[in-house]
Amino acid sequence: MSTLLETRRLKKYYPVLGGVLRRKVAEIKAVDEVNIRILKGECFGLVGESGCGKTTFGKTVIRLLDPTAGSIYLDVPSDIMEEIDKLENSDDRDSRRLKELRKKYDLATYRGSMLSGIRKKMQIVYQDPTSSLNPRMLVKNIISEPLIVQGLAKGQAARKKVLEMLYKVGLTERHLYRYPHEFSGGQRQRIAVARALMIDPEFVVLDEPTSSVDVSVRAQLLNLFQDLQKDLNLTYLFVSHDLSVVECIAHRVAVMYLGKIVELAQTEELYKNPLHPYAQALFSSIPIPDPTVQKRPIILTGEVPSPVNPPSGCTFHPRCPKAMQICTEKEPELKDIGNGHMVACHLIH
Amino acid sequence: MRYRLREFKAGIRPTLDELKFTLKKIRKSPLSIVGTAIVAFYITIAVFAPVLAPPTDPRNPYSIFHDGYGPTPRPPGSPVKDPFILGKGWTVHFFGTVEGQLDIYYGCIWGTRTAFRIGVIVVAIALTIGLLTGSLAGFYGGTIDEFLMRFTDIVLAFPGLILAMALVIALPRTWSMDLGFLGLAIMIFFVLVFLGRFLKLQGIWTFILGLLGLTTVVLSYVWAFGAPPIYIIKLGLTNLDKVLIALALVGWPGYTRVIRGEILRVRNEDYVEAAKAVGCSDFRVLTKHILPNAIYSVVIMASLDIGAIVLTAAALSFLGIGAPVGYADWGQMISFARNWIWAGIENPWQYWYTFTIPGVFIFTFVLGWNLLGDAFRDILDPTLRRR
Amino acid sequence: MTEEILVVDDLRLNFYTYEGVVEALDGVNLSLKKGETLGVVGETGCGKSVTGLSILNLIPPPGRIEGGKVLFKPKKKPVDLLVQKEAILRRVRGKYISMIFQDPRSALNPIYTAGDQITEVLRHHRRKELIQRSLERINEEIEAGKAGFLTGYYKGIYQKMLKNPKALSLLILSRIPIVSRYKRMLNEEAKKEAINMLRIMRIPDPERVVDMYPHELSGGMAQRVVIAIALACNPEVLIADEPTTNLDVTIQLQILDLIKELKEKFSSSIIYVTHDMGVIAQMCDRVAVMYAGNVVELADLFETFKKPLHPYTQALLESIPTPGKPFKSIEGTVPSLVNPPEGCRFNDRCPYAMEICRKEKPKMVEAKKEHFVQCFLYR
Repeated sequence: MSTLLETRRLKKYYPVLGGVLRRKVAEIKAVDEVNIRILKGECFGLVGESGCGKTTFGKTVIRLLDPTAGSIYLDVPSDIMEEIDKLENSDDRDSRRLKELRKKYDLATYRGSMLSGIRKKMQIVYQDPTSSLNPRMLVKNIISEPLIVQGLAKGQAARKKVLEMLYKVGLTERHLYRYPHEFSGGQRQRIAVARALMIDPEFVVLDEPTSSVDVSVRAQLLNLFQDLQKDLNLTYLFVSHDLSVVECIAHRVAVMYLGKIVELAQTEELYKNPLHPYAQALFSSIPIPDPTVQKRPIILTGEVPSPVNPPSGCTFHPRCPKAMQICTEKEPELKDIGNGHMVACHLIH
Repeated sequence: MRYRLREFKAGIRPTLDELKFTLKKIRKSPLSIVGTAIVAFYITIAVFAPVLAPPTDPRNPYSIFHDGYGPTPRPPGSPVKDPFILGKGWTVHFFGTVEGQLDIYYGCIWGTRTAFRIGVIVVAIALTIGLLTGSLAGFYGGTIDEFLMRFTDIVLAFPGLILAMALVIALPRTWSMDLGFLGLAIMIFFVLVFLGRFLKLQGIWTFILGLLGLTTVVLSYVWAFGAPPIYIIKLGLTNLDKVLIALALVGWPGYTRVIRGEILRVRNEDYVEAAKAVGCSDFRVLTKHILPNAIYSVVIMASLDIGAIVLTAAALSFLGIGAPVGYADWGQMISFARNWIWAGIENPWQYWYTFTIPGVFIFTFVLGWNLLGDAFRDILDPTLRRR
Repeated sequence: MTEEILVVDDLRLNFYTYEGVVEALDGVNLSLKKGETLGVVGETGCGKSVTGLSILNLIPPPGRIEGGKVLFKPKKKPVDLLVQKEAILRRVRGKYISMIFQDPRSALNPIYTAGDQITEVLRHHRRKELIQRSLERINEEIEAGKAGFLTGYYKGIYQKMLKNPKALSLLILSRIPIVSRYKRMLNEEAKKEAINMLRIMRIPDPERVVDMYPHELSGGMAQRVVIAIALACNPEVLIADEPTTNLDVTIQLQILDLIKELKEKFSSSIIYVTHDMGVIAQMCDRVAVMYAGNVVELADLFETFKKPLHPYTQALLESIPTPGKPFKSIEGTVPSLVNPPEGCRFNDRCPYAMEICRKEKPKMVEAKKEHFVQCFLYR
């Protein structure tokens, strides 16, 4: 399968202003050098605890936030990617050709009208359906707004498209002329999905879409996501802290800690055999709804450190039960150890 | 065609539902009913003023007629003496007369219209300026925010009443405006805006570019050539109009702060970000997403303000600044009663009707708007709506 | 046969709102045995949180308890908590029955330090103990010869406080600024106890944390402070209302482990309210499943998960997403409680619904030993 989205050394830092003159005293490293490749048609899961930067990553990738550094390549033909690779690896870093290619293909450099141009290709579904829908707008207007704003359809044609999309997400015409607060959580989430898919994006970021709904509705939404992915050929980035849901729907999963990816593998492989100590602790802590299964969960000590002052070397070493001397000094690289399973840990390599 | 009607009916239904819920809420709160009733009552009086108090001079309905020129007020129920006025259909002074034999009833009825004019015009202007500055400050933040808020602070420091008095003296009785020049200025503004769009600048910068360009061109033109007249119109400015301008000029900072605060709150909501993700322009996000959710507090403030402005204007009229002599305005009527508040030889309260009746009008008008403002707050505040 | 310490009998609760009367609880029956953890599980709107609140009679208006009993039997004589006066309830809350809330940030008062909030409970309920400890300390000081010239005065005051806590003289003295310094010793003892509680909660560096404000604490630490407040007076019953829902998975694990350890140490019985079946499987001995204001099934852990009897429980367990199997959801939506359906409230979504289910409401029966169901399939 071909690559749809690739990020290279993506960084998103927030400055911390302090002192009388409000100068930058520190930086919150929300996303710290993330390189991943999302393949076309797959559902890529991104898990981690709160504050690890996964939501920030999702929003930066679709350019709702401006990245501090790094590159984002969306649907770039492979020969161009090869050329960029060659130019970057050679000593010709500042060549005009590289700059030219970057300006054309690297989403991180887009500004102004070029940015509005790619909005059509990438969309997002938020976690809380109550706050992601304008309470003063009718459902009809909420869903048809993307069409009107992008200039794709108006009036009767727009209405037809809206109805088509409504049926696809499992709602009916009766729901058009209502306000969002008249619906249940699951239905509101469907409206949010309909809005996101109206302008035919290729890539959709799902930011914890099932966290605010009940267990019984969760299954409905997951079914919907899978059906829509097959139907419309979508690629998902499924961000969540709910590990059991991600296990069911994602093809590949990455684990994030303090802005860095620590492990990445096929879902089954990762859940069965996590290698990074943090991933091991994380997966062992999922409460299994079966009283006969006895697990010995790994309980981590301490709290997640603040992203303003991350520990030196491997950021996990203060809490790692298997930390070595080298972990305090050198940061481990995310290396592929076979079969697409990537780990960033000195224990492994 | 039938499709359009169906669409329309379907589209109206949720608004009607909302209205029904709102009415139910109003019914539950007796004070809101009282407030609405009072305001509705005054609106009726204002609308039907020509019927309730037919003017003796149709060209100047706002000047209260004189039934003679005697200095002593006459009590309610006194008959009309002047044959000209009798001819117009007036037989008795319902509320009596005040010094100079001005009919109190007539003054109060037509004063209702004046009160609405004052309240609505001032609040409308103040609201427009306030919304504009507050939205820009709240939405864009940063330097624009700082700049606008400091400017607002400066305006807040002006004492409203004294500014009103100063303007009454300073502004001329007629104001001539060069319409042609204004038209030229607007044309230049739009040309510059299009130029900015053409150069692919973001929304706010085209606006600023337009303003800067406009100011430079206008100032340089005036400096170079003086201001030649192209098409001059003269507007008559009564004292009352000057008072209105003054009150509007100092009344807007309150709205700015409120709307700025609300926009800062709404700006962080998910649906605003979702609108940006879909590709909405700044302007669209502001007008269709942020403002409809931020406007509640401002509406409440506006309705409370109408009452307050009328009160202030009445005070100014009482002091003599404001409506011209003989104009139908409640404050004016009380100013005529100045000498008669504690007069009368046998009974000091003999001339109570001169100040009590207009006073009751003012009091209930302001009370009605205050209660209506409270009712709006109970209804519109989404956190209190209990959905 | 362990005795029951808390019994909820046919509890009915209504909320009177603009849109009508919401029948939130429609005859809830629960029983908590001494020393066990009872899990109350259900989805949003089923009434599990308000059940916990009603036990302590903390339902705010427009809610009103319409019927039923809450029998509390700490010493073999049952007391109905719903009919007690507020003064007696205040003695019960915190000391005999305690509650842990869902969101630690809103459960803690942001203007008081963590230590202040724990000592508040201590000073209210364990006052005598604190006074006795202060007296002991004073006696030690006198024996060690370190008696200051105010020590005798303090001793006198504390002895008086023990004998006659509501004396008028004490009331007056406590208001005068300089003379009321005797309270300082009491506060110190309370603070020591608070630090001790924090240490039991496995909070590192409790001396520092005791002076921190809630906004300076992380989610996990704040929740631990809330648990410390709840357990400060060694209550018989602890009601935990979704304490780990807002926390990360690894922190949740720490807190659950802590709760298990504390249950042993303090020998409390716990009512654990949650919507997460995984947590139930880890923590509870018996499970009560709630739907739309009723308890539809009440059984021990193994029976509930492996042999569920009520159709709702079965559907709920099936709808938990498992990898490899297709996702199964429950048809329909939870009925509106303003106009609840006639008969059994699950009848419009139940795959086994019969005629009688639409007409009459089923009663709770003991279908198997210690396994209660509210369904017409088992009569």
